[in-house]
Order: sequence, then structure tokens, then C-alpha cells
Amino acid sequence: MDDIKHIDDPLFKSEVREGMRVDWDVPIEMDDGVVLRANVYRPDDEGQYPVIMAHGPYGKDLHFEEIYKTCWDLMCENHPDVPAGSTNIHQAWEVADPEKWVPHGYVLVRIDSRGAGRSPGYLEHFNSRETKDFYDCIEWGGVQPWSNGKVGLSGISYYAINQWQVAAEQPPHLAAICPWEGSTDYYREGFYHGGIYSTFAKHWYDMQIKQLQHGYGDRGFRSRANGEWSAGPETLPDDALEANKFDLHATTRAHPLDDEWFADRAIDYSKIEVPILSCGNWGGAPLHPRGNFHGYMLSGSKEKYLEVHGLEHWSLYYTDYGNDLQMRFFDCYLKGDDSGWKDQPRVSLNVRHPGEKFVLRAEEDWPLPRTQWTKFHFEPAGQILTDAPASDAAAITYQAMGDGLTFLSNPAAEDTEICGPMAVKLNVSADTKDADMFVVLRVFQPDMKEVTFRGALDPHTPVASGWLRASHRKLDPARSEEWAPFHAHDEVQELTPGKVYELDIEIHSSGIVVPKGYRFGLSIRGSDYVYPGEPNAGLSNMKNAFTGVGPFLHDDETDRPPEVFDNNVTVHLGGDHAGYVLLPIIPAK
Amino acid sequence: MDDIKYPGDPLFKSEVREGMRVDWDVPIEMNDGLVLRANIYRPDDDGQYPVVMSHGPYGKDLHFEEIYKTCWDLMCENHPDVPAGSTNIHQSWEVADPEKWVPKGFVIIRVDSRGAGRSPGYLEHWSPRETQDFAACIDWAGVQPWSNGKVGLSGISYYAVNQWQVAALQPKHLAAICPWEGFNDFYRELSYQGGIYNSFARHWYDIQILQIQHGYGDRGWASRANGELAAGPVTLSDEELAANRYDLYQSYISHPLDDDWYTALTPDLSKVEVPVLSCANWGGAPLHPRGNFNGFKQSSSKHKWLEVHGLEHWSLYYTDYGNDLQMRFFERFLRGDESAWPDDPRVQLLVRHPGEKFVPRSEEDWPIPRTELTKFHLEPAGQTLSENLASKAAEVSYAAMGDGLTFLSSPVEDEFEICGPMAVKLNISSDTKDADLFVILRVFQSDMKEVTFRGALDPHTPVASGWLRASHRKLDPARSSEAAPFHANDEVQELTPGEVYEVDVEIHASGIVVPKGYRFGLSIKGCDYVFPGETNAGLSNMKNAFTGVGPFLHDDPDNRPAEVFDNNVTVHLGGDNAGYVLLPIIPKKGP
Repeated sequence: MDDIKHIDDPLFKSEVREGMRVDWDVPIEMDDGVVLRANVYRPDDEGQYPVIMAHGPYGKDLHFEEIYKTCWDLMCENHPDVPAGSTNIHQAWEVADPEKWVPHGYVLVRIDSRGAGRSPGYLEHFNSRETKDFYDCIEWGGVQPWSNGKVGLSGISYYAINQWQVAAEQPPHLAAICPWEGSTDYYREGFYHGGIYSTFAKHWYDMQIKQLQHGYGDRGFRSRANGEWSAGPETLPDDALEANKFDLHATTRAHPLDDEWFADRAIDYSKIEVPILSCGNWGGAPLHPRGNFHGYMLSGSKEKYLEVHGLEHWSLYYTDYGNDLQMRFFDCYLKGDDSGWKDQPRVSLNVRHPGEKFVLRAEEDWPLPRTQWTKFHFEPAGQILTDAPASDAAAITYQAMGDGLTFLSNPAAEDTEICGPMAVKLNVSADTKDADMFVVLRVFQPDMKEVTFRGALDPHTPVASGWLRASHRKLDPARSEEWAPFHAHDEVQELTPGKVYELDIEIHSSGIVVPKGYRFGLSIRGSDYVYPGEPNAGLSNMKNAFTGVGPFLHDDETDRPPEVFDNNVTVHLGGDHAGYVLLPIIPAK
Repeated sequence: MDDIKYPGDPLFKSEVREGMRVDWDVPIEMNDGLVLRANIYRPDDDGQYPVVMSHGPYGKDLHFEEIYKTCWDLMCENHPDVPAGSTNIHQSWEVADPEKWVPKGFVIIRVDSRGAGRSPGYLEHWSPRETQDFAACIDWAGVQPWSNGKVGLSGISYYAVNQWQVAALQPKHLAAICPWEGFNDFYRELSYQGGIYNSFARHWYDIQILQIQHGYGDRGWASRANGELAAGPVTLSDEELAANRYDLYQSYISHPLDDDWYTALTPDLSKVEVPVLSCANWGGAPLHPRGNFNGFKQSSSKHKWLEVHGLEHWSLYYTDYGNDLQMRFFERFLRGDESAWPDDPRVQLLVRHPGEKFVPRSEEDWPIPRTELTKFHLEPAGQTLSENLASKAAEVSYAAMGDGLTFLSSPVEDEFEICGPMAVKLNISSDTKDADLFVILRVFQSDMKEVTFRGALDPHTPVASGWLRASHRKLDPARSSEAAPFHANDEVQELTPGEVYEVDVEIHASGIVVPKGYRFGLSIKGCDYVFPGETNAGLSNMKNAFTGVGPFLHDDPDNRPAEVFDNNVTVHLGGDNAGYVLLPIIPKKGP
């Protein structure tokens, strides 16, 4: 079917290649008149097929290797099934390879979101305007001659976050979503972890967005497939580019609380009703996995599934494992063929063991219903974790900019699985008006080498982490569980120096099997975790060398002025002061 | 004074350069007629000067950078005072730079030992023949026209080891020695730690010795200073080379006990009577520092001193610190300037703190007399270290080829110092007829990052280590002390599987200040320590990447057959089973 014509459109082209009909720069007009551009990859026949759509700012025409060379190489080296069976000419960052999908009877649609790539307009991520655009695109995708009327969404990260957003708007043609490592809470996951500003997005904007802003033009990259400018066709002057995009860092720094600006981007989970396959990564905190877990737990969908995996943020999505998982899901909900999905467990975990070992296991729900929530108390004598509350009252002080404290368990008597959300209860005082708490759940081999993982980004990611600015300690009781404190972040409650405050710290959900003889431990610090080995060189799309937290550094001086946060913090234990980490212990089935 | 002539000698040359008279390939005839070759660097005048000599196999004419490029670069980067003030054209591995010494009125002599470099003959390291050669060279140098009759010895490692040997022979003109990082127990330090074979020397021989064997000739390097072949002038066939040297590996592996073969090499330290300045490295175990400590303690010298430092094996020797230290010592004992070097302090420590921080402090003796030997008991509950005896009897098993066990202290309440020899007492059983025990004293930051050091060779060297093959547990009571068990290593006492044996493990002396909030711990494993971080690329003169123990791997499959040593070992604690590490705690000095 090559009968799609866009008379007089200066950009639209269509050709048959790699065994597909490829429509380039298909125009989709928005309700305000802005025309977004889409690539449509489809079977070259008269059939009507389900649609798999992605909508975002990374450039539908930017080849994966241009900015993400190290990510591509790492993926191909570790997962040779990814490049196999494809020319890879259409590979782009965090969206599906049409050469793997079109032969299975899907139409793949990639849309450059407003202001990005080949689509003009004002660039402002995840705002309600962008979500409305996505909605309109879905509705457009549902009524095209090649469409069977069912649109599914697929993509990683940005292309997953906005699935949650648009699904809550309930576009009629939306039939299923598969948010692969996509956050849902713009405040708590994207920018402020426990109220502490992360500079990740600021640098991400510089490295991954600005080079793809529409009009970056001939300063940027050409499509390897069709030779056009991936952020073109026109090249705009710097001042025009500036005027066409929001100032991400200044904007988010101007909103240090979870206010109405964040509300414009917030997701009403209860309105998500389409089938969901939520795919989380054990090593993706603080950005994405919390969203995958919450999206699964809180969405209104009757048909919802959770899958959790490890390794790099982008890799498994492209593998045979990832394609098979998604196709079985979409075959069910877009094609009505449930033969590959009817036995799918609600929760499918690649249970994580040291040494990057993952064992697939089915579960009924998340958190796991048979979880034994267990308190491990901080014992000041010896700084250990024990089953019983601390013996005597004691206070331990550390320098926030130093190495902090680490409470260690005994060597595990048997293999012990920790899997689910976690929380820390702690009484602290500071010698200034605030304190940033970084808590890290860690696991150590019998020789005390720390067990870290090739996380979503950093190759030395610890097992689990939590963050809290003490002045943000106020809970939202309606949204809190004992095992998952939820902070309101709607007011700053400064500390009186020397006075003791009880804090609840959320540790983002994670999972690990602690082998017999290994220890676990909880580190309490005043700055980001540092991997006890050499820094890693990082990735071509990121600025910093990786020291254990990938790009998720909390190092903005305006957010963490030294006169407040280069302080001494005292942990009060024993007596009336509860102090423990609440861990989800999973008994063997 | 250029009046030294060796008529008819085909190799001897003499020239003035770099402000010195340099005599190349001076012939020194041994009592069996063999002629060794020496370079002499001396003031170009008629004076008579003290002599500082080295004698060994690394090639007097091989430039430092040829084989040891990474070592040279590391040293120059970290210690810019080393290359400063010298053309560095005469720099060689582990011997003094004449450009730093001759202007101070010393004659520097480098002798290629028998079979090495420019000296012909049969190469057999540290053999009685070689030591006899060294003594002859010393007494030769004592009577040369430019000599004041007093010969001192200086050099690192090989060039330090043989100082202990030759000093025990008491050559007439020997006046003082400064063994800088040099062992003296050929069994326990060089080849078998606690009875476990160490493959270091085997690989060392391949890289650092075979390429400079006399006759390697044009396959090797030319002197950067005079253009002659450093292992020449002749080039011999591979067969001739092989016939001209001993088989180091076979020699050691075929002597698994401390037998007569070692006795012939090992110096009688009680016969060392000349003044000694013994310079040890905290991070040099298992090879050298034990020898520096024991040499200091056991030599009969009335005048003896101990200095202990850190960082790379070779670096401090060449620095202003190292030159100053040695020159002041030699000024007194070779030139008679009593004011240059006082009697006290006898012991000078660069006390080691985390972060490669070293603080100088003087002490009266070694081990430090005010040491409080303290037992830290292995507590099975929680695998902790406690000053109390283990609560209940318990057994803890581990797979020897796995990660072993680690007993951790509480975070220390106040900074404290561990410094001196240490020992571990353990009761163990094995499911085979033997067990290799590797024990490591470790220190951890409060975030559990391990504190390691740029040791003598490995940039991630743990604080202290000990080794024992259980079948070698028999002690020599006469030579043992509570803090330093000394094993006889004269018979193999195999284990009955499942039976419990008490073993004493020596931890080679070390020193560390443990800061407040840090933990220390004792790891017990069945194989070499592995640094919990990235592997280091190693050094240009060594074969292996460094995983925490530098080249000192105990990995010889013939010495550690898997059917015996890939076993399960059980540590028995509590009840009647003592289990502790005995640490030398150093109280702060009084006001």
C-alpha cells in the first residue's frame, strides 16, 4: 500500500526498503496547527495492522550510534542477538527496531515530539501540551488506512514516561502500553530525590536534547537512512533555538517543592485503564523503577503486568527476550491473539543474585504477598544490624561530607532474599538547620568485597538507595505505608540545631538474593554513595565519570549550600529512639 | 687520577664525563681465575675516598628505563627530586646514581656478578660462590689507589640481600652496610611463605635475569652511556646460555623444606658485625621487610639502625630522603665523621596512616618496647573480633578456593596504632590431608572501602599478611616468640581429615594507624588475597596483572594440587579452641 500521499508537502517521502514500506516525515497536524513529523514503518501491502507508537525528543532519524556509541557497543557486545537479523540502519535510541517488528505484522510509528527533531514548535518536556500532542497522534494512528484501530505504545525511558501520562488521558484508540523503565513521579524520581536536587536532568538536557532540538540542523547529525538532517530540515540561529525551548534547570530549580508546576506533569494513575506491561530495572534507581512499580501497583487497569530485569537501561528492550515479551503482550491486546500471553504471570521477576545472575520467577503481585517485613535495628555497639532494638541509648555523629556510618549484618546463615520496597526509620539531629540523608543498602561478599551491579547506567551500582532532606520529612499519610513512606514535599520544615527529629526514609524498591556467608549493611551518609573501587569512564551521552551512582549526582551547590549541608549529623539510637531498616524478606516458595 | 691502566685488557676504558672519572669494565680477578667486570665512578683527582659498592645480576650498564620503564616513570612522576640534578645517563635498577654520590666524595662501584651482564661464568644467584666473589670485590676495592680502605654496601633488593650474606663473611675492608629492602631468609621470604611455594622468583628470573645473562649479547640492550652491550660483549647461543645458569625453578621447587640447600645460602646473622642501616618497606611483604626487621634484630653489630618507609620498592632509595639518609650513615662509618650520624634514635619509622600518609617518628628499638600485645578473639557469632573470648563453641567452614571468612572489629572509638610483628592462633580441620591458610589483616573506612596502599609493588596492597600450610605447623620453639611464631619447615605433618589441629600463623610485621571510626578485620582464606577493586596493569618488569599481592602469587599447581588444596576448611572457635589475632598495639608516647 503506497497510496498515502501528502500533496504539496515538502518533506514527505515514501519508499520500500529493508522489506518494508517506509513513510518519512508524515505530517500530523495538532489542534493548534503545529505539524509534527512521523516516520511510519509498515508492511507494504493492503492490510490493516496494529500500531506500535513512540513519541519523544531523541530524534526519530538520529541513528543510535551517533550520540550513544558506547551504549550501542556495550549492548551489541553483551547481546549479540540485538544486531542479528537486522541491517540496523533504522536503529534509534530507546525505540523499537522496525526490522524486528514489521515482519511480525506491526506498523511502527515514531514521532518527533514538538520542538524536537523534525517537528517544529516550543520544546517543553512532559507538559500537558506535549501529552495532548501524543494523544492526538494516537488518535491519528488509530484511523489510518493501514491501521487496525488499535494503538500500543512502546519505548524506553522518555518514551515510557509519557506512556503513563497519555494513558491517563484515555485516548480511545489506545489499546495497551508497555512502559519500559519509565518513571511516573516527575518530582520524586525525575528531579528531587527525597527533596534533594539531582543534576542528572540538567546534564541530560545538554547532552541528549539540545543536539536534537528542531533547528539544530546542520550542526547536528544526518539520518543514516535517508540523508536528511535529523534536527532539521532548517537550521535556526542560537537565539531562535533558545527562544524555542524551556530552561529546564532554572525551571526545576525554581520549583523545589512538589507544587502546581509538577502537578501539570503528574499522572492520575486511577485513570489508566488500558492493559499495561510495566518493565522495571533493579538497577535503575532513582529515576525509573519506582515509577514502574507504582504504575503497576496504582493504575486502574484490570489487565496489568509487571516484569523486572537487570543490566543496562536500554539493552534488554532490544534483545530477543525483550521483543518476545512485548510481542506476546501486544499480540494479545492489539491482535486479539492471547496464545502467547494467557499463561503470563502477573509479576515476572528476573530475581537478582550476585555476579549479574538473574533467575526468572513468577509471582502473584507486587509487593510480593508473602513478604515478611522485618526490622533490622541499628545497634550502636559495633555498628551492626540486629533483630532486637538497640540495647543502650547512644548517639553517633558523622561528618556529612565524610564517609558516614555503615551498620553491618552478621554473615547470612542461609541464602536470604530481599525484594520489594524498603524504609529506614532514624532519629537525627544536625548542627545546622537541615541535613541531607543518603542511605544505601549494600551487600558484601565474605571477603568484604561489595556486591555491585551493572545497573541501568553505572556498572558499579549498589543494591538499593534512598534519599531524604530532613526538612522534607513531612509524610503524606494517605499515600504512605510502613514499608513505603511517601513524603508530601509541600513545605520546608527546617531543623533547630541540636534538636532530635524522627525521619522516615524511603528506599526505592529493589531485589537481591544475599547468599549464605554474605553480609548486608546499611550506610548512612551526607553525600552520594561512592563505589569502593575505580571510577568508570561513563557513557558517550553523559558528562561525568561514574562513581557508583551513574549520572544521578546530588551536587548542585545552590541546592546544597555548604553552610547548611557540610555539617555534622548525629544519629540517636536506643532508648526511645527507634532506628531500623525495614526489609522485605521473601521466604522461599 | 687517570693512572689506572690494565695493559692488554680488551674491554677496560676510562673517561671523564658528567664531572667524574668513569672507569668502564675494570677487571677484578676472582680466586678461581674468573674475571668480573666493574664500573667505577670516582672523583677525577688524586684523593682517596670511601667506596660504596654493589654487586649483582641486573646489569651495571643496563639503563633503568630499558626493562623498568613503568617503575622509572612512576618514580619520576611522584618524586621529581630523583631525576633532578642528574643527567640520569648512569641510572640503573636498584643501585645508586653516581652523579648524586661522587660529588659528595664517594667512589661508586658497580660489579656485574658472575654470569651476569659483562661478567662471564656460571650464574647461580646468591650461591656461596657468588658471595665469595662479593667478598673478594670488597677486599679488592679496599686497596685500590683511590680507596680510603673503607667499603660500604648500598643497593635495593638483590643488592641488599647479598649485603647480609657477605657481611656474615666479614671481609676485611667492609665497614658498613645499608641493605635497602633486602630479605635474608631464602626459604621463608623468597620461596615458601609458611611452606607454600611462591611463583614470584620463577617469573622474576624470566624477565629480570635471563635478558641480562652474560652472553645474551646483541639480543639485549646497549649501554646508553658507552654503547657497549650490557650483557656482552659476546653473544652466546641459547644452549650455551642455558648451560651457564642454574635452573631456578627446579632448584626451589625440589627443595620444599628448609633443608641444607637453603642453609648454604642463608647468612648467619650473628656473624654480621659491621654497622648496619636496615631500611624496610611497610608494603613489601612477603619478600623483603621480614628480612630487614630480622636482620636488624639478629645481627651482632654494635652499631645498627632500622628505618621503615612506604611507597614503591625502589623509589625512596633514589630520593633526596634516601640519599641523605644513606650519606649521613656512610659519612660516619666510611669517613669517620661522627657528627654525621648520631647513635640515637636506633629506629626511625615513617608511621603509616591511610591515604599514603607517613609521619616520621623515632623509637628506641624494634619491636617497639612499649608495645601492648593484645589478643583480638575471633567471635563466631557475627564473625567479629572481640577482646573477649568467643562466647560459645562454634565451627565455621569455608571453601578454600572461595572468599573465605572475614572477622570484623567494631569501628574504633579512638585512633590507634598497630605496629610490629603479629600472629594468629587458630584451630582448624580440613576434609583433605592439608590446608593452606592465607590470613590478611585489613582496615576499612567507615564506608567499608578497604584501606590499601601503594605497596612495594602492588598499588593495592593490604595492611599485613601471613601464610601457613597446615602440614608445616611445627614450630621451632627456640626461634619463636608469642608475637612471631617461627616454623621449623623441616618436616611435613599431614592432617587426618576431620581432626582438629592448632596452628600458629606468622603475620609479617607491618604498621598502620587506624583512624577513629574505621574498622579492622582479619580475613582467613585458602588462596591469595584479592583486592576488592579493579586489577592493576602491573609493571613492565613483571608478567602478571596485579590483583592485590603484586607478583607474590601462590599458584603453582604442582605445589597446590587441587585434590588437596581445593578443599573445605573448618575453623573451630570457642570452648577449648583458642582463636585470635595477636596485635601489637602501640600506646601514644608519653609527654
